Amino acid sequence: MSAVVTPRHRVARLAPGRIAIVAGVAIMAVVIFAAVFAPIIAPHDPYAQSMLARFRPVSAEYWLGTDQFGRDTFSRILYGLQITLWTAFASTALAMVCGTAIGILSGYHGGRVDRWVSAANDLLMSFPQMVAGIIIVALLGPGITNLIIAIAITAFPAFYRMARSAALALRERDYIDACRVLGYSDIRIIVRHLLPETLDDIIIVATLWLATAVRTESSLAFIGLGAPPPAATLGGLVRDGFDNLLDYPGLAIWPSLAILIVMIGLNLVGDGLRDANDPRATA
Amino acid sequence: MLRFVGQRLLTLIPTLFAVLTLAFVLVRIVPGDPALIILGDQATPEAIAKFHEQTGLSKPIWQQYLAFLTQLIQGDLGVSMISNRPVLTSVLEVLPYTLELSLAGVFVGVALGVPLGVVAARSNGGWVDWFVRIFTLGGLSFPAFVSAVLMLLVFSVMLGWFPVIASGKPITDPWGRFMSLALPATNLGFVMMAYVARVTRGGMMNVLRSDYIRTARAKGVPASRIVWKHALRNVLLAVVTFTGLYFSVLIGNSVLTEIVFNRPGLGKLVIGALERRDYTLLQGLVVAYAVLVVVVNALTDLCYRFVDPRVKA
Repeated sequence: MSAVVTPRHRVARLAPGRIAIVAGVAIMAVVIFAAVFAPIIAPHDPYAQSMLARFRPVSAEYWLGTDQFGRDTFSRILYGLQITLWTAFASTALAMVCGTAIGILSGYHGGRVDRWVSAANDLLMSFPQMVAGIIIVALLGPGITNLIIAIAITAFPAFYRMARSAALALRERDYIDACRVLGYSDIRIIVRHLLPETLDDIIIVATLWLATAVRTESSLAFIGLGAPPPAATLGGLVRDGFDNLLDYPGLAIWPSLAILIVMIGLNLVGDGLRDANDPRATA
Repeated sequence: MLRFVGQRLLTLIPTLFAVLTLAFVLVRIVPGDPALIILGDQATPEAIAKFHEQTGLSKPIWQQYLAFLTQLIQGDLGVSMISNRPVLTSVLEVLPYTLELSLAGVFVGVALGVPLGVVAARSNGGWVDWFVRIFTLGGLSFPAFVSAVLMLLVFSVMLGWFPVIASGKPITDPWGRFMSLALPATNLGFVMMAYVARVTRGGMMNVLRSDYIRTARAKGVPASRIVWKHALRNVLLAVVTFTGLYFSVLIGNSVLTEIVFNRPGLGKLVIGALERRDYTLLQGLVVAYAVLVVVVNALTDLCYRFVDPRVKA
């Protein structure tokens, strides 16, 4: 019976949101450090091939072994992290800026413009995100910039919807009416009064979408639509390892773990932020 | 009821129309002449002109669009630029495999996720809740291809429980078909389970606070009966909503799952069409995916009416 009634247990007082944020930030700090200082940390040149050092096992010289071209897996993972993180941050930032701006304008303006933009957004959402990503990258052609644009397009609807619904709700408030009576310009109302109100929610969506962007980037790289070779990408490393799965499973396992660590770090931060912002979630 | 179904189906028409137009445009904004890509750089002008004639690319764009729509209304998605096979035949050939995989994935996701969420909500801050929280966080963090590769490695290669190449078996071999479906479906379901568990937990926490639950408790209904019967029925609504929304993610994950497990399906067809630059096949696949998502969304709405008789219009 008590399981149904008791609103709060002892453990909950540890504020799970805060623990998650601290753990997530710590993981991401290590990951970002490793990516930024990859040229210094990496024990080997990630592109240097050596026919004499093919498929080496884990050793003091090659921390995570070598691949079919004798390239050092650990060094390649570090450089892959660079691409993954840069693509994820850049595409999420692009989607956040565009989605929020268009969403707020659309919601604040209302009327026919809002209906048309929303319809276009719904249309975008009626394609599976992964399939849209695959097709957009394939159409745009290979390259990191195109990859960033493609992932940003798939992430756009999340920010658009969030910002639009916030603007729709806020524009009916008295203080916004007051701003209008005072003769403030629309731009001033949006930038000074609407945007700050929605920022908390948008940042939470952004952290959660960072994880999705990492997932999309590595998935596209796995399919062969990521940053073009010889660049090392985490998804591409898994793909290469997958081709040798029966003989050298490590080649697929290590980059997989790297992706998982990044995903867990980002999800912890996003989750924690959401909990910290929504008292009901933990109550 | 029939009227509601009819109305819902009518709202599909403008959406489908827009989707079809987008598919048409998408395939035509591709940089480069498909004739050059397919016939090669060395193609003679005559060969290119002949190719344009055959594929209808020489006509003005609005005629191409009209032809595309009239063909579609007749249930014709055109023929592949490469193999000259009707696109619809290729799509319908593999559609059952993708549908089977998706539905089995949804089943696994819901069957595992709902109980997990209920248990977490009942624990509410206790160690079970924490365990579920961490477990689902792990589930959310797996890109589908990572979990697929690891599952294949552990269960097929190392333990040998499942076939390594789980390509689609014919329906006449039900056991083989089941075994080749089990691991890919679990892969899709594993990622979905994490989301379902969270939706269920959140919904359960809200419902357990409502008046009718307090009344039931006051009447002396046992706690487990309150949770699993009275409360769960309302929570299932949220799960249905979520499943509808999640379906497009699931379809995306099925592409990756099909690649790793080497299963036939829409996903494998997309990758093949991209590699061979088969634009008519690609166009047909874009239509197929969009129709699938739109239809599932409509089915979700209809599902509401059955799960919750209060939902009107």
